[in-house]
Amino acid sequence: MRRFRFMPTEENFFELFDEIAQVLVDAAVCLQDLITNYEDVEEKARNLREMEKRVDSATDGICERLNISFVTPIDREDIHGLATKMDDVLDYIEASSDRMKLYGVEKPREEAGEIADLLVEGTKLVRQAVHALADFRDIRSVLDPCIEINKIENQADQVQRRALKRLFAEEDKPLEVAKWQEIFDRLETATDRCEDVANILESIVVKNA
Amino acid sequence: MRRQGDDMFRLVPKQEGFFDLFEKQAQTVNQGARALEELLMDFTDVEGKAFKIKGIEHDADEIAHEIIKKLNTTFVTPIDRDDIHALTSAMDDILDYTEAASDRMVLYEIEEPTEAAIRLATILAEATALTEKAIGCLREMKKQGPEIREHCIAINRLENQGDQANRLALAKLFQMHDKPMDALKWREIYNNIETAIDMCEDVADILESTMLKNA
Repeated sequence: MRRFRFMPTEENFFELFDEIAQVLVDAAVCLQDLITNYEDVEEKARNLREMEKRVDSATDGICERLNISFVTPIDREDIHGLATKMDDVLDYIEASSDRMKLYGVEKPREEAGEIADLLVEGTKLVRQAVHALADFRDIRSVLDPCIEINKIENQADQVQRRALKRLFAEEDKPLEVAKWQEIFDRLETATDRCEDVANILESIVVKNA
Repeated sequence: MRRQGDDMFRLVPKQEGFFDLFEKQAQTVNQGARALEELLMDFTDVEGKAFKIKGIEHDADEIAHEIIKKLNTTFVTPIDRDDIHALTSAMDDILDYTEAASDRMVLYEIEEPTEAAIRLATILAEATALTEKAIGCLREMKKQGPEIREHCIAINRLENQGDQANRLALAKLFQMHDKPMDALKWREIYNNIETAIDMCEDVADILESTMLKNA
């Protein structure tokens, strides 16, 4: 099958996407570490905020180049969509860590670690799919990780349900419940945003196949 | 701008299938919202009814999937590809939040509904009924433009009402100091229903911009 680097472009959007995808994985690993080794929380949360800023400026860079590039390798809307959706993943990863710090969480609940594990898996799959898009050989190399990302989102949904059930059953301080409701919501939404990235990737490859 | 539909003869047949699928999806969304309203009005066999809503949500997922598949294999579409994509995912979102609301009632073993929840569910059911009507006019977008616009305005109005109802409901929840845990459960459910209503407004916004583009 033909590779779809349609023409050489000065602006290498794919390289930027690869970079962003790598930061997403780094961020998910950092969140996982923050939750499982709950120490130096301030510093770890600060690291995550740094990564978020880096992705923000990379996203801005993509949008800026989009405005000046005449030829883009894939649809302009798709480039924009992919960049903003990847940015969203990181926003929710960062928001999760931020809430834990902000609310003075003393010890993360167990299920938070489970969702963080899923996020690491999910962002690695995003990285794999984005890379397959840049180095396009066949449609399956992009679609297969996307299917896995969908599965991860479902699993995170189930973990969240179980977490909420246990939270209300075992926690007797309403403020603790309120805090964790919010943290679980942020964590689960991060996996939803991975699914959004997968949806865009799917439609890009099917359209260009 | 590309004009489609006005041509006296066409080289490529117009894709009517999209409208059929949109209508089917909008119907299913409305069915789900009505099921949520019914669940709250007659709060018996909550688990069974929530399960039914889950089934409806699954049906709608399938339709959305069909639309995307068709989109990716169709060369000439009756309206912008991006609008088709946006409409389908916004309708999908309505039902996702509707289903989430009913799911949480089961998960949290809610024993009786609140008036605010019924009120919000009624607003949602009205909004999805209007969404269904507006989507039904899309096929004859040019002729039925004023009608679509009317429905969109009504959906916007309902969204405002939903917003108000949610605020009042939340204020009331946090006044019941004796049952804070219940307040937290209901807050989550109210927010889900209110977001579902917001998503109806998203559909209305997309419809309005589609009409502008095709005017």
